Amino acid sequence: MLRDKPYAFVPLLPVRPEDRREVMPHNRIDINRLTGRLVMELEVVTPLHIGSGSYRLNEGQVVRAFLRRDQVPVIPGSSLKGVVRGLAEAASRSCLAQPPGKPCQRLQAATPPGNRQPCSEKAACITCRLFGFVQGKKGYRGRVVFGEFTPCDETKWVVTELPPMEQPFKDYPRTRENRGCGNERLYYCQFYRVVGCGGPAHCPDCTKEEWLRWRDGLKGRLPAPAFRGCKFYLQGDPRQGNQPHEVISPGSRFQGEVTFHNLDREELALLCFALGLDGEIRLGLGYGKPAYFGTVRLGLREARWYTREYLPAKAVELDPVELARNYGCNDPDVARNVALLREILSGKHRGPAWGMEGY
Amino acid sequence: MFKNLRNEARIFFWLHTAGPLLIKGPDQPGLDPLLPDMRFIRAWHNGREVPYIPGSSLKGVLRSRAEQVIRALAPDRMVIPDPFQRGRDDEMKDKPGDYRYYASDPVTQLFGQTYLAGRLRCADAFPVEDRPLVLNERNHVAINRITGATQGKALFNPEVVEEGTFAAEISLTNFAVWQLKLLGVLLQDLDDGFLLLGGSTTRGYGRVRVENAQVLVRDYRRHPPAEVLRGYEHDDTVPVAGCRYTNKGYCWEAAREGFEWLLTLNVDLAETLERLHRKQREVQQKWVNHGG
Ligand SMILES: [Zn+2]
Ligand SMILES: [Zn+2]
Repeated sequence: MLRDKPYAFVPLLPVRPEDRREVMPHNRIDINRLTGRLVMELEVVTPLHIGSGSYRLNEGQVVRAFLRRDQVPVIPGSSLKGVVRGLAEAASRSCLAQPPGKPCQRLQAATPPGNRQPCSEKAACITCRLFGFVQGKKGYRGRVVFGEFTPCDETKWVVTELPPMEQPFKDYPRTRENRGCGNERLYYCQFYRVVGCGGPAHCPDCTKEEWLRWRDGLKGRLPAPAFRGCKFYLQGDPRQGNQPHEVISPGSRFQGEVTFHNLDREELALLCFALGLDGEIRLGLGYGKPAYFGTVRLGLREARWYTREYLPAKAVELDPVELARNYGCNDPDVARNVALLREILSGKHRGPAWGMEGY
Repeated sequence: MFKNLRNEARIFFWLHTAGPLLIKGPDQPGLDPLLPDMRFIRAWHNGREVPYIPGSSLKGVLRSRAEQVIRALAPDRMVIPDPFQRGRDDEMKDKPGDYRYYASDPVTQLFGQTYLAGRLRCADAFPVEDRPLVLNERNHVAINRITGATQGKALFNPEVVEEGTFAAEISLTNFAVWQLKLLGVLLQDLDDGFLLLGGSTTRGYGRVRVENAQVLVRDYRRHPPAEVLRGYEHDDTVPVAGCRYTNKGYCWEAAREGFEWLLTLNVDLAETLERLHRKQREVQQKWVNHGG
């Protein structure tokens, strides 16, 4: 973990050929697979803002409006899907669906083997099999459906000021060879392999000036860039700023459903883990994660299996919470990432307060 | 074959949004830049342009769910072709109508194919008067996993129906009783959210409830049916307690509230598929033996 940063990186794992499988077609209900629904409750832990893209006038002040359906604040399925997918990617041997920045020669080899090769219908990683993918004109619709979450009881938003968020991936250094590659110092620096900076945990210790000096000194033998991994924000005490936003207050509860079709046990286990059903993972939703906004906790109310009178009855003895707890235990690399995600997202390891050096 | 109208079922119901609904209209490039980049589909209805659910959208999702259900229940040897699969037109085009029907798979029998008119039709569903209709534009952005930030411009900004109630109608002519039962299964999945309407369904769009359903059954044969449902075939009859027909002059008519009773019809779907498969092979065999 990086010292004094509000975020940490979870390493990308290599994707071996055997990790990709043919996708499950959508053309049947497979009675040997798992279809059903997780009925869930979502608790807001730190103020949550999900933008509607519009503004409202509140006591003479222009505020960014929370997404609502009619007059009710809602958490759209798309927000949850994005966050849960990101967690699933980090906790499995999955492809990197979207490399950051523009296509950049220097970063071609910055991801582990097999990671950047796109998934196809014949060979798809577990995340793409679960959540779908687009490849050129073709694509595969995922088998997990995120419903919209609505308040359990009357929930009102309050107006809170958030600090402005910076676009974090600006090119740095701004050289010709680094164009479109983003911030090397933060995202894919490997200098610690050849200089005595102390390694990733100490990276914030090297100032920009020192870093540039090292870089100049390493001319010709710059270590190959490698992404530190997927970025996850730590949790901490929300920081106020000056940009008014409608937010939902901590303690508010929402309810919603996640429906899944024809999963195998491993896929369902990854889904349950990425939803945080083990109770050790809280998700970061919506806007303002660097300022520790949008921490939420999902809890399982009920798992309902798809049973119908016309289908052969089948007893399903799986406990989604248990699946989430045991996820990854048969692959040491996955288990390491799972442990790291729990450390970052459990909320026990607090992120540094604002204004601290290096933040 | 189906020149004579023997029976007919019409199911009227409301599709009530239980989440945002996104059905994209035809692309209109270069139109008003102030319009959302993905407009909800609209049509003229009673002198106004209104958002609606095209019958083809509803029929499309019902068909694909029917395929999923039938593949789960059909005997292994029974082939359920992909609806876009080519080649069957050539095989079928010179054959008589009842061959085309009985040699087809059960999904095609119900929903049709270029060479065979299906028995099921879905009307366009227009907003119910005096019920709320709320449209809104939603935003979608992509988040990059490595940077944790939004990536590029918005993915898309669709116009959605946030709240709406649409009056839908499905009609079946010359139906078999198993087809009505299957329709009950499909409507249950739709009402229960295992079947979703329109686009972007994995992102939370397309959840609807089936409300206010009414089934109207007509029998055009001379003798009145008595508390039974009669399929097109003479031996396809199941009892339905309390189903009373009235004489309309040109037909017998019975109406029942709800669609759930369709699920209780005394028809074993798996057994029916087995029987349809036998029939399918029988007509194909006969055709081969008699050289057409
Ligand atoms: Zn993939
Ligand atoms: Zn360093």
